[in-house]
Amino acid sequence: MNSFLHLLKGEVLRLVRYKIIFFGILVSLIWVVLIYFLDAQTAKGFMPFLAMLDAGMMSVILLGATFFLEKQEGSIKTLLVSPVSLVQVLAAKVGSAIISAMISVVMVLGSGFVFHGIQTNFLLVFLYVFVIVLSHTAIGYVITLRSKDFMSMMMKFAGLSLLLMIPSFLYLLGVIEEQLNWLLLLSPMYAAQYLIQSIHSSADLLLIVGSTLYLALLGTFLYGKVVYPRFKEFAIGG
Amino acid sequence: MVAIQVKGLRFTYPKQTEETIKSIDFSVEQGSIFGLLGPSGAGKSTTQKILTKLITDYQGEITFLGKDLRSYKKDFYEVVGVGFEMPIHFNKLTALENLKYFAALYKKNIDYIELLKKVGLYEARNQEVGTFSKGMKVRLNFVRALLNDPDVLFLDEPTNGLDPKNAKVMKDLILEYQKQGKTIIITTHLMGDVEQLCDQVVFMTKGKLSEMATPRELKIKYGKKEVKVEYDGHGVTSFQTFPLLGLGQNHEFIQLLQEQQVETIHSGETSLEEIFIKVTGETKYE
Repeated sequence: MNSFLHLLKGEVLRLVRYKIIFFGILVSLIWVVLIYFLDAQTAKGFMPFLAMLDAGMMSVILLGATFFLEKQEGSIKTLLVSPVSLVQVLAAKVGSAIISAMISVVMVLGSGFVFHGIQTNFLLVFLYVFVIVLSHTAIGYVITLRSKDFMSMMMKFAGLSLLLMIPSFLYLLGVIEEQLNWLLLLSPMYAAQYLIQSIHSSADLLLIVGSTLYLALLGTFLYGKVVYPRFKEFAIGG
Repeated sequence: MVAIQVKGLRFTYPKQTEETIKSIDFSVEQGSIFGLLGPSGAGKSTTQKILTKLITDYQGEITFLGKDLRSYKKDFYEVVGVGFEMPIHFNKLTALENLKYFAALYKKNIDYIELLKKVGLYEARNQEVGTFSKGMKVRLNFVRALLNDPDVLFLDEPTNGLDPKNAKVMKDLILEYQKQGKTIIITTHLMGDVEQLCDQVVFMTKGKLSEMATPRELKIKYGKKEVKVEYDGHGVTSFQTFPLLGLGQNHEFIQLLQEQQVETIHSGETSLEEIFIKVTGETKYE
């Protein structure tokens, strides 16, 4: 536990030193300004999308950027020859991504309260950010561990994002009927957005529980079966 | 006492059909400095990765400080130090922040401030590692590898990129460390380092061991058993060679020493560079 906390502290320190948290806050400030200029109803509808961008999409991009940077520095290799387990190393990375995402999400949802009086249950936000970051960083690692560099990782991520948007388009075009709209939640991005949306709007409890479990299980499965077995080999190679 | 015993070690990388390590056997004595040498692609980096548990799906037996290497968990790295050749620090953190960060992961630490002073980095301790020269990073790598006062130390090219003065400081520190009864495994392409540091040397070629001996044994085995005498032969430098065997009774040799103005005498001792080329069949080494 002590090693994990130490690793987590180190991860956060590096997020600060590499100005990753700084740029995250800068982007969130843009969202805050945007929310200020929106009316309460539009802000309420827009905030979940922004929060999903920060907690989901941004965590994948930041993960890829830091992974390739640390691989280049060789610092991951050093951690792998230290008395810490790979589970602790990965958990610290997920933990720091959660902290980074929480800062952004709290800024976005907090500005909704400050400017428009939109109430938020931050305990639920924490739970949802946890499963969103867990699943999205796992997806990020799966793509990263199959990429040569950051650019190729970004290309693959963009391709995957487009692919995952197909169900939403089909729904909008009426190809997927109303009663089958739960199928959209199979896209982790949509499930993430649905969860954040449910904080401020009425939502189906079954779909909320289903989305939470789905994202938690997806993250756990990908970390356990894909990321963990390949991480060490990829980190020490070339 | 044996620190590391390797028996029938084999390894094939995933998606490859040919073995990278083709059944090798060797042992490393506790308290010795062991040199792992070979051309690029010979398998020595893979061997080192196996010995440091970065690769675990090997075949064969490795006994490490009396226990099966596979039986060690993360506590393995409490007794092992690994110094990589390439930079391995967080560039945006200072040297001291890097050392503090890694030191906190171990149960015991050496006095790394003192070691920073010894390797000449104390003044730069609060400087970001990203601004360090290659030589400074190499020295910091060395300090990091020693953070936990390891019983077995793996060093990859420990003096590569250092000026002669700093290279000597490092070599002296390595020898000082050995005197404390520690075992050191060095991978290097600098044969001068091998001659000055190693008690035993292993040459690897294409995944196999091609030679294993002490530097002295290798020199005797591969050296020419002769003496070459250069002398001033009426204003022109001339030379003659004599067999080492029975040199003291060789009248021609004694006569030459007595009658000619001898300029140089060389034994047929060969350098480790030449031995490397002979043993591995390679003209370039890593």
